[in-house]
Amino acid sequence: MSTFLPPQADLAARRHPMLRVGVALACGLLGFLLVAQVRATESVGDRLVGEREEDLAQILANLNGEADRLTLEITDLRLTLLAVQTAAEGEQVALRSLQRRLDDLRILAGVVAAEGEGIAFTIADPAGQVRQDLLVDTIQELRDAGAEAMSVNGIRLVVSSAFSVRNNRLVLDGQPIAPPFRILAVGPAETMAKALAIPGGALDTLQARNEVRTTVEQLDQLVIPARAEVVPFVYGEPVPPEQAKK
Amino acid sequence: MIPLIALLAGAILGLVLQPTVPIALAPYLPVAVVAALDAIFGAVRARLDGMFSERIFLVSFLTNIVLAVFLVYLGDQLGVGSELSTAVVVVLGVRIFQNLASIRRRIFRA
Repeated sequence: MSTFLPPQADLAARRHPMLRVGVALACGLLGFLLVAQVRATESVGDRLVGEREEDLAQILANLNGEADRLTLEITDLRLTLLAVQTAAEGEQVALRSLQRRLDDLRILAGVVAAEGEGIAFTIADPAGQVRQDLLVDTIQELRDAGAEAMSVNGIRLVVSSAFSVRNNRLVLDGQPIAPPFRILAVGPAETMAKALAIPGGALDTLQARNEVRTTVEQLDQLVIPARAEVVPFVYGEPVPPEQAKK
Repeated sequence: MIPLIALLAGAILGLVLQPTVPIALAPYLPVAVVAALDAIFGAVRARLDGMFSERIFLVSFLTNIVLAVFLVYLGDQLGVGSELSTAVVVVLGVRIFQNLASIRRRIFRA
């Protein structure tokens, strides 16, 4: 198999100095070529230089195909990302609006304390002239002017709140109240103050009574306490929205 | 010993000079290197067999390289360059393996 099957005649030539130099040169050349080739293979660019035209065409076609595929994949993933983001944003918006509505309903039901701008309306009535009808009128006036949460002498007014008279004493939701009455209302302070001051309105009616003195303070920040306990509904049941439409 | 030193000297020269392979020669250099490696391993084997001849080594070294490069060049002209260079590398690789097997048997007697 070897290329080296020397005839006996060559043994004499072994000692020839030029041949030894040739062998050394050949070995040196091999080392040089080896290093050159290894270095040429090191970088992709240099490797491509060594390729034939048809191979280059094939490599280019492969790379183009790969690039196209990856571009498609990028587009696909971008679309997915967009869809997911849109869905997430939609959910966030829905969640925020539901949260907002829940907050509104909590304030309406009086289960949470409410704070904000509003007015403090005090009615001094040493002679006991103010009855429940006048208080209801005043509260009605404030609600009409946009009051969102109210309390009378620290008792939170809710949808089921009612004034009554027991043993000749004024009672609000089962708790006796007595003058002076302090009505707190969260809402548009200026509008509510003006509404009370309308000629022939609540203020005029109250001050027409003996010894009744009223003060209205507009406040930037006041806090209405929460309802002490929530009264459960016994007779009312919620109607599902789809049934309510029929 | 001298050939080994010459080999290292060539390698160092290549590292120092950092030659760039001309584009025209780029497809032929790999097969030339493999052909040269085949000649070197053949020489080592002949040396161990006690049949080494500088003249034959030089002739085989040069003809090996020229033949391998010529075959690849011919393949390029015929449009089967890459296949033929693969064939040359495979054949030379097989020969290198056989020579290495002989050398191994010589050295380890197994």
